[in-house]
Amino acid sequence: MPSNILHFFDNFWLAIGATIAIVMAYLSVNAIMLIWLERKLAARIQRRIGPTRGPFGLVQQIFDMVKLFSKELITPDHVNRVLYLIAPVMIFAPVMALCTLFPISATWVFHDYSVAVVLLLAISGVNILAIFFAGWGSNNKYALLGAVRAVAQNISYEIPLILSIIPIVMMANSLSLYGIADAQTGVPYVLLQPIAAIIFIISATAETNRAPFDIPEAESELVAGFHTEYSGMRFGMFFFAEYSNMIIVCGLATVLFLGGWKGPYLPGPVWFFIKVYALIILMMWFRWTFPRLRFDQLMKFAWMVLVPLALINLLITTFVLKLI
Amino acid sequence: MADDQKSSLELPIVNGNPQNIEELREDVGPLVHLDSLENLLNQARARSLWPLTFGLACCAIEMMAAGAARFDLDRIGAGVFRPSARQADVMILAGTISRKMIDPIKTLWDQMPSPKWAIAMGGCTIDGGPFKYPGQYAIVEGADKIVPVDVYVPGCPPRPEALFAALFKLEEKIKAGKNFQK
Amino acid sequence: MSLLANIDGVRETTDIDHSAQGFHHLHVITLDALVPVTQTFFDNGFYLEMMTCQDRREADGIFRLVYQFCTMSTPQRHLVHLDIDPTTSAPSIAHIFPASDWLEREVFDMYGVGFDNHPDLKRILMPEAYPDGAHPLLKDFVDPESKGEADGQSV
Repeated sequence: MPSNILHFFDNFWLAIGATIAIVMAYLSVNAIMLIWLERKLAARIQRRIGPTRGPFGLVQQIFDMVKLFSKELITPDHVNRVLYLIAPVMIFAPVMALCTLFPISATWVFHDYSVAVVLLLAISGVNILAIFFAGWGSNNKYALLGAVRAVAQNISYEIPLILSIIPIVMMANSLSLYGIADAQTGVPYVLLQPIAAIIFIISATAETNRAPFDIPEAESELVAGFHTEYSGMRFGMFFFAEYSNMIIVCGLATVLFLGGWKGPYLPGPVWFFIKVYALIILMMWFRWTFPRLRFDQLMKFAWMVLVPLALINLLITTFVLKLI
Repeated sequence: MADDQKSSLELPIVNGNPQNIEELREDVGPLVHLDSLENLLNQARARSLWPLTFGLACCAIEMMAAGAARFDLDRIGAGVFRPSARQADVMILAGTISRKMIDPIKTLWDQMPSPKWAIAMGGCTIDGGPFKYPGQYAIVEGADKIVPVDVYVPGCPPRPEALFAALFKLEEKIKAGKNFQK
Repeated sequence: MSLLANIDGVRETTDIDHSAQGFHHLHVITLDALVPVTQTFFDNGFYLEMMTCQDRREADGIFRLVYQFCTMSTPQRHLVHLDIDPTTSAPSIAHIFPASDWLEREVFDMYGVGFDNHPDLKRILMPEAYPDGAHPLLKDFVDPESKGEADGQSV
């Protein structure tokens, strides 16, 4: 059984405080690094250089953050204040909560819930609500269009996402993330369930509103989508939340399909992060390779292709597991 | 037309009119100035200028070329073109400004959060460019009749290297702490 | 052209050199013939390519509206000239070719030609607050907002 944070701190509230501090520190540094990685990767894929200030352009991020913090925070007159102000907070909070679920090594997880998978899927639904608050509260037709499309897209792609997780859960006989990672003793599940893995990665890209599914924040179509009316650090929050969401879904993919911390020679946490960041680079690669999907193509793809495929996969898994 | 006949076109700012500039100075700008902090912030702001995608005409092509692979504005931190005015720092007015665009430009300028700057790119935004003749009906002769411009880039269209030079000039101006608020 | 043979008020000029002029047939029509002619072109699969106006008040005392129809299947281009008095308005063909909605707005904006039964006749190129009666492409036009200085600096 893995040790968890409560073993280190006697006081419950101190444990919670430590968790929050560690998660926030990690997410902040992580988001900054991922934005840098995105810009550099995009540049190299497009045969240009990208940021050059500092070694490898790393200092550019600091300038961007400082500038975002020092921008004037405009709250337009015509917005619905409560929704408008709550949305940036609400989009970031679930992400922080979900970070605590991942088993980083064989002996460490913040808290090992026996129903971690269900918890993760449930809490990530709050993201969708936050996007809709942003779009509706902005009182701006482009923001509303972006938010409406985001909600439709997210709830459509939740179904193949869940349907591709169920075979894994059945094979591992456990809903806990630690248990699923532990159960992949010989072969990672990506080799046993390739279709589920592909469906998961596609649905995960759509869940986080990343290209080619980034209609909600489509730059050339909808001004800036649901975060049109946000300036300064409020916009920074949406930015952060998108990159942190990527960590969550890639972490989930690692645990479910790639065996979490397992790997030869290197210690567990190192393997975990290598796998997570490899998947993140894959998602970034998608963004700069594929053109954006039109909204009706997006919905058709989810309902006519992914859902039937996931159901067939589920059926086959059930039969095979019954026969074995 | 007689000289005393006033222009019926109401333009928000006439460059060089001290009265207007003073009124603007009173409205905008923080209540408290902390000079050393402002210096640091200006150093950061100069190196991370996010332009608004505001290509109006032919100069837009050169702006796009400057952002693309061969010249790459991302190298100097200005490669993140934001489509929403609320997330942009610098408005690069690239192209001829027709009279119908006066209101949208003013609206977008007002929507940008301060600190904000404007670059007038190309001859048309400096003083009307090749489309200016006595009695013309179509364009606004110069972007500085609508927004306070910080850097002017001559050319028709200016080469991407000229846009780079303009951004460097703007960076110098920002690091020296000068913008229209001061 | 036998296409328009049944309509009154159409006079056609043939023997046009296509390689020099760029079109095949020229029809000069009267005001009443515009809508039937347009309907005939639409029924026969033609597209409205272009519509514009010429200010011929000094030469002939008229405005000449020029319509251009073409078809791609057997390449043909027909020009239609409609001479109208500067004070009259022409019928709108927006109910046949919806694209002429904006083309007619442009002619109205630049020349002041009115169109009957137009869905929404207002300025399209100039700002909506531009003074009424100021139509830029007329040959005797003076910009009402100009300061009239000789060396540019109109506005």
